[in-house]
Amino acid sequence: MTRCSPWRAALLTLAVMIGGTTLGGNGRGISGMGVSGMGIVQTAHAHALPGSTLIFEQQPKHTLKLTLQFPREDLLIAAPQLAALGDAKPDAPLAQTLTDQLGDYLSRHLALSKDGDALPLTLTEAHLTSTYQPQLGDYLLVVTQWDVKTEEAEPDSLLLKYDAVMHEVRNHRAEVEWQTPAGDTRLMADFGFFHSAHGVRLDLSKARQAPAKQE
Amino acid sequence: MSRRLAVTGGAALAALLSFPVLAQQGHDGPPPDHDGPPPMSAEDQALSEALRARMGDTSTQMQSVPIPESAAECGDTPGYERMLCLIDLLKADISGDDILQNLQHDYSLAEAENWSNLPAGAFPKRPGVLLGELNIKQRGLVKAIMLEATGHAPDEGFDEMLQTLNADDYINTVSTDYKAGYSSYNTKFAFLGTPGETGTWELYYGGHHMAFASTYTDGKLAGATPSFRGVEPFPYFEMNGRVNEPLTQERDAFATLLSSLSDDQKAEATLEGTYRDILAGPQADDAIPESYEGLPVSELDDDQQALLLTAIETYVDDISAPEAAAYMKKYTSELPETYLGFSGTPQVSAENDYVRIHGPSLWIEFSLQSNKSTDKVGNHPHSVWRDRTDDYGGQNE
Repeated sequence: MTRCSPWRAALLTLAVMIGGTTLGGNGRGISGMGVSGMGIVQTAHAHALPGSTLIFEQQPKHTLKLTLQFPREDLLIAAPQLAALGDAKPDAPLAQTLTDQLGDYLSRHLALSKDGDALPLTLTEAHLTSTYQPQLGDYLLVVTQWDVKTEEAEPDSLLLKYDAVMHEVRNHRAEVEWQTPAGDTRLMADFGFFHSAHGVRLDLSKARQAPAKQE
Repeated sequence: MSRRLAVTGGAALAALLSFPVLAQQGHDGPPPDHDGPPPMSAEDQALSEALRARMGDTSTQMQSVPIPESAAECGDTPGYERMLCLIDLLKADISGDDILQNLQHDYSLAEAENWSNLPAGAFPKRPGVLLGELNIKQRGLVKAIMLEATGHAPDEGFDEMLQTLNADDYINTVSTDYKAGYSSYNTKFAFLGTPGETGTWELYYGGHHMAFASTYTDGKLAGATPSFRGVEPFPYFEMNGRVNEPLTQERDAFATLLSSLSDDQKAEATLEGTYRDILAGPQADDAIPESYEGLPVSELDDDQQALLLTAIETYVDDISAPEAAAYMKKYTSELPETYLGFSGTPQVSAENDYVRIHGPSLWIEFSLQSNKSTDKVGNHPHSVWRDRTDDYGGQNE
């Protein structure tokens, strides 16, 4: 079942046309639209899309698993060099070239350290997934998974430096969560662009013991 | 050039520059072939009926609800004492414990931070009693209380809030998102802390696209922010028997100001990055940067500074006149350390257009983003006024 009636579809098409005119007029590049490599223009979403979500989980062998996700639409504004993502289909593996480009971009905007020593991050998987929220409609998320190698089996704290998407889309924020083995999530940090520069301290030992995040 | 001439000329220029966008958006109303929302699902029907059962009579709009004759007991001298008297009348009229408990909360900063731009159904954490849970007399007393706390100029203060509520009634005629609770009577009203001559309490009035938060300490206004306003449709629409344009004067004031800038000034005022929404919105109290960006207001000439103050007044005049005057005095004195920034077009008419005023105390943002609730072509604003020294009345716990 589709959510769009014919008149809505027509309005969306009109919105694309008008939006394109506006973009050409202000000359500030992509603004609120995803432009695919095939010239297919996708409509913008109303209200701000969700920010980035970073979820850490403890794994065996001195490893943390990091799941990082954010809306594709905002990524394409922040990183127009990844425009090929506009053609990618949800819930299917990304082409290796695209995964590499995405990894290159994120590696410039994501870093973890412990006591001043950078921790190695390995991108293990990347895909798009479709999601829906009543206030936002349908939109696509870019989901990446990373392995983080740590000196300690269960580190008590880390320093996170992260400014993906928000380095350009300034209202974009990041929420950092800890996921317990039982699947509960606990909020560790919530920050925006102007607090990203110096890094954010993540208290993992507190998160391991804290009550579950209140929704 | 006189200030009046500058304002008039600037407004005309802004109107001319923004005309194509107004033409694109046209007169807001349901599309010609719109035949209303589709039938509700059984689940949505049940939710809707449960909501209506809680609401009671929802037929009376705040703009037409009469102020009850009993309000005369509180005299006709406007101010804090009359507001306290009206609050006592309201509490005395409420017989249901549940409603009274929803109306009167203990003060906590955490509770005060539970405001949002989202519709009622999407942010259930808002404290307070729904307007629809009150009877007509009680809504009239709410109106009288709010009139003590707000400005009375057309399209500002309480009139601006009435029009914002009318927008939700409009959305309710075109939206199929039944769970969102689009309707003026889904606005929440609460006292956070006990109103009185001493102590701290907040007058909370909030719903979709609206957050009013005046905090009083020991009988005086300690802070009128965060103050959020948004509206869809924009720039104007007809609903509840009137033309509504609650935030058009804010946009026009910014467009007039930005259009007055020279090319060099525009370049200096242009902010880095893209703004798809405001920074210091709900649950983003830490978002205001310490550093300044943009064009120092000290580099504006007298006429341009007057235009800037006119833009600021469209926010500050939302509160009662004596308190607004005190804020304007403070912000005027801080102009030499205040910065103006924008992103997008100076007409403030396109998606992702954004304007910001940032001073030692003052923080104002105005952002245009594409429509959602109406499924209509065009953009709608989100905007916030914050005061970095007395947000939430300066409370920190």
